[in-house]
Amino acid sequence: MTTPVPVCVEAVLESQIQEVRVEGDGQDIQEVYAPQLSMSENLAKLANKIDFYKDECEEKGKPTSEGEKESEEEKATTFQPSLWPWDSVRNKLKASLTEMSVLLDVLNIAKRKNYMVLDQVSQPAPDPKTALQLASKKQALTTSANILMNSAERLKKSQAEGTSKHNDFHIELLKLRQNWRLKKVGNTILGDLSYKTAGSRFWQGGTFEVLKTTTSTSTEPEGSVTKGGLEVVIPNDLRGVAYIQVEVKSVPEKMDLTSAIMRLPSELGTVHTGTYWQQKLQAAQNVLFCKEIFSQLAREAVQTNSSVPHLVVGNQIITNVFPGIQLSIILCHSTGKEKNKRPPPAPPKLDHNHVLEHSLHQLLRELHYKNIHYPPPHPVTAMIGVSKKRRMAGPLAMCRQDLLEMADNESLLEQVIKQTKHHVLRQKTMGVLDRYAITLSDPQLANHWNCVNSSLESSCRVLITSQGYDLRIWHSFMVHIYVDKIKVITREGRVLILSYEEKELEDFILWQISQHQISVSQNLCRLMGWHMLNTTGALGVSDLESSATASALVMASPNHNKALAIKSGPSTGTKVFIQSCPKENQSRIVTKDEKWSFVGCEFQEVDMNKFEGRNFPSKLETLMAVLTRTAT
Amino acid sequence: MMDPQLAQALKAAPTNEYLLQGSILDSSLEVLLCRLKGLCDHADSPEEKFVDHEMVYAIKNASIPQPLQYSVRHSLVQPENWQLRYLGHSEMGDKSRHTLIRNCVDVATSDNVLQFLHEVGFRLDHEFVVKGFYFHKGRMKVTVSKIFKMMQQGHTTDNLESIVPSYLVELSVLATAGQDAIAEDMKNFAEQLKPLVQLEKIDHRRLQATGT
Amino acid sequence: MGVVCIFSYAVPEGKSGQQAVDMLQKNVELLGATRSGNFCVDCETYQSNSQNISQRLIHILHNSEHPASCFAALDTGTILVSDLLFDVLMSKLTAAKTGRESFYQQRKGFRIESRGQRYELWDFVIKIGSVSLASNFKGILVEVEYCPCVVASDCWNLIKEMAQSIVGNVADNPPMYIKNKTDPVYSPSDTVNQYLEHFNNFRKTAPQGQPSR
Repeated sequence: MTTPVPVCVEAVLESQIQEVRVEGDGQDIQEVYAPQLSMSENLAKLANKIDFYKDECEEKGKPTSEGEKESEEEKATTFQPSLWPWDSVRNKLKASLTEMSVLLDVLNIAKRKNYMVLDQVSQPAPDPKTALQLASKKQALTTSANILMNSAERLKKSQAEGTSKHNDFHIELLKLRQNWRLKKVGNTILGDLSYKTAGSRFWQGGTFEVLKTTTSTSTEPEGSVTKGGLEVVIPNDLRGVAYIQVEVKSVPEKMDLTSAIMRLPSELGTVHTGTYWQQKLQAAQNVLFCKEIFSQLAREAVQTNSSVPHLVVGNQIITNVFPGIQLSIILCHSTGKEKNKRPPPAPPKLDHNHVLEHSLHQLLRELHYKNIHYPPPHPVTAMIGVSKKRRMAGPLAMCRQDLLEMADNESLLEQVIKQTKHHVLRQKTMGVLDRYAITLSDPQLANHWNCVNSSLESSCRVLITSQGYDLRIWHSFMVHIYVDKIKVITREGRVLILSYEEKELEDFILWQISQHQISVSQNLCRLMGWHMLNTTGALGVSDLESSATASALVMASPNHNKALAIKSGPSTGTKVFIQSCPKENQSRIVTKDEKWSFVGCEFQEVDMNKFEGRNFPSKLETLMAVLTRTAT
Repeated sequence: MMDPQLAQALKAAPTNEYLLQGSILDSSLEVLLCRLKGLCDHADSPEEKFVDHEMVYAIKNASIPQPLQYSVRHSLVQPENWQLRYLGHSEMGDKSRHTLIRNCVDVATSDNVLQFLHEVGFRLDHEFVVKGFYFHKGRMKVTVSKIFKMMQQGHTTDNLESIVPSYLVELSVLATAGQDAIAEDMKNFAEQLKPLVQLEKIDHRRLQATGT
Repeated sequence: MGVVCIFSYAVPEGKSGQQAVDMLQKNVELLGATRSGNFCVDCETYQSNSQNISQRLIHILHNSEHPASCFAALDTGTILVSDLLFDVLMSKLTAAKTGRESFYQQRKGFRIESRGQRYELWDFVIKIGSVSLASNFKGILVEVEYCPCVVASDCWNLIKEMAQSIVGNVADNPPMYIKNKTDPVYSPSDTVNQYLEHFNNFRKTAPQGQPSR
């Protein structure tokens, strides 16, 4: 047997690199090593690494393959119902007994000091640096001195202010008290800017705090304004400026039909200093109001199950009003902090209107009003919150249709969608009518919009006239625009319901124009003493029109020797035919009477473009006059 | 058959009345009205007035000593409104309950209710006219009213005589059974009216006992 | 709410009530009417207790066409139209407490109702109801309503034409109640009165052994 070889259990003698110095131009690299650790330091370091909180059995389950198997087995056994109810208790007792024995052994070993010496684990504290301590003490003293000096300054100032009425906190408070709800809680004055007293049932409150201005403005917290001896502190989520933006756009072209944008005065700095807190509170109140509108709409959008699903994404509600036309309601809220890096606002449109945005505000106010204004009960013992109509429903034996209508109250979103639909439809109709009014010269269209309209109904009378003949001869029709349909009433009283498609209205207008040309001709015929032989509103012969039907008129000159046929179609335009009589025809006729001479003669088209005249009636008049003269 | 939602709305009518009563002298009416206007919901609109004509009918039976009373309330402001009203016995309850509770059934009827009651066997017991003001705060109804004796039967507009120089103040809520939380709200509201009027639960039986 | 005429349709020989109802429904559907739910008119009768001064009957009717209303008809002809809560008041009248008898009591086995399909055909509402007294089939009532008008005499001819195409000769003359009506304006109580009249007729024929449904 060889002699035993001593094995050193010290750590490998390797110093750790503390830092690498690069001197000169990066040529000279020097490594600085950390000093070697002593035995006890090393032990302390290792001891620090041990996580004493870790459970022992957890260590067992360390990811060795055997351990895993073991734990799996353990799990398998624990999953089975234990055979003995005290099994777990026994296990725990056993474990604690083991730990107690180990502790006893350790104590014994430590006590004898033969095998082990207990040493302090933590490293010795560095030497107290007296200079540093002195410096920090000095600093603390100066800051506290500053605080004291400041407060002394403030006291002095407030003493001085007591005499001058100008900047008085209490006068401002009085003003505030006259406009806002305030209450005193402990030493603070709290105010309420929510719409709760006006009937709102919004969950978010609007409590603000009233503070007395400290004149040293440099240490002011952000967001609070100090003017006039009083400041208000508004909760974070109500700060800044908010507005509801309503946009109607057709989806494929991304074209803006309307966009109602309401902007609040975001430059708070321009407001008169005396009413500063007032502006601030009003802005906050508006933020709250906009938030309520949006949350109400979002809730309704999710709750209602309409055929067209409403989409709520972030701060935007999107819904389709018509196929291809989208309504989006956006809550814009810019808190004061983002003010600097706010993206540039959308380019302001000159023709933007506030209508839909305004009506949203209006609708919510109405809702608020209804929440607290119940119809008065009569007799007074009747239940409150019941409308008179509902109260009378029983005695009047109201039928179920009426009751259902009464029970059905429209949500805010539905009302807005309705208004939007009407808005879009009106805009479209206006566009079509205006386009025709501008482009058509023969005949002309004149639109008279009714000044009395509502947000869901409007109407317009359209006159079709021919210049120079408009005193006696005009054609007109009424256009009633509803939520998603258009009703047109022709001069004869015929009622047609058109959908939201522009094409339908265009076809209708063209048809009316073709009808107008015939009625002009009829009038001329009567005026000039011609005889109307035949007139029809729906011509069954000739080329097919792309829409509606052509109408026609046949008339004879006063002495029955000439005949004109006029055909007017919505797409084919107006054509005039004259019955021409070839000379040789006369010889073949058996009966010599002149009136038979035209039998079987063919009609030939007259090129009306060759005539002079501003429009069709004047050309026709010329033609008729010529024919009348040549015939005599 | 019927829309279930509608049916439920029609059926679920609350029939329990929580009631607190008090009275004020004529002279302090203005002050109380001002206070109520400030406290109640419709502060921006003028106070609502009402004039009702109440006729109490009773039916008696040989075997029954205690008559059954129905009262007819007829609004003189909206004369098309008639109501038939049944009031049950009021429960005082113990001290833990802040208000009086009584069964109360109000049925709106057609205008031939008087004839109907007569033909069914009811007879007019007494009648009076109530004039006053009405306020509401949420579900709570506050009435400040004066009761007038009718000197001539059937004349509701003239020949009226007030009985006492004071106004009756009532705070009531109609609710379904078991909504005792409302009593707490009423107590708090009554607290706010405290120096002006003392609203309490008043035991009617004791009043009747002392009256006879 | 328009004018309503109610006709009693006699079940043809050799047919059951259900067959007759099916036939009528088929007829109405052939006319082009569309189904619009069910309807029900029920009637409960109360009579005064013997100790009372006068003998009275109160009929309480509900009509599903007027779901918020309760009709209380007296045998004197007075009809009180009120809220559904009137049922609660009625229960107070009929409640017998300890030591006292009720003022009115319900007649047992007198509950009668007409129940069936409701149809709409342009301005008309047609209802075909099979009447059952204490769940025994008693007969068929056909209701024809013309909605745009409230004056019975003005639209009788229209109703007649419609009704004849459903029930035949029964509709040659207007119902007696409509004929005798003095007030020209028709009201929902008139419908209730017509039903009551028919119900009373059915009750009189109660003991006969009709084939039950």
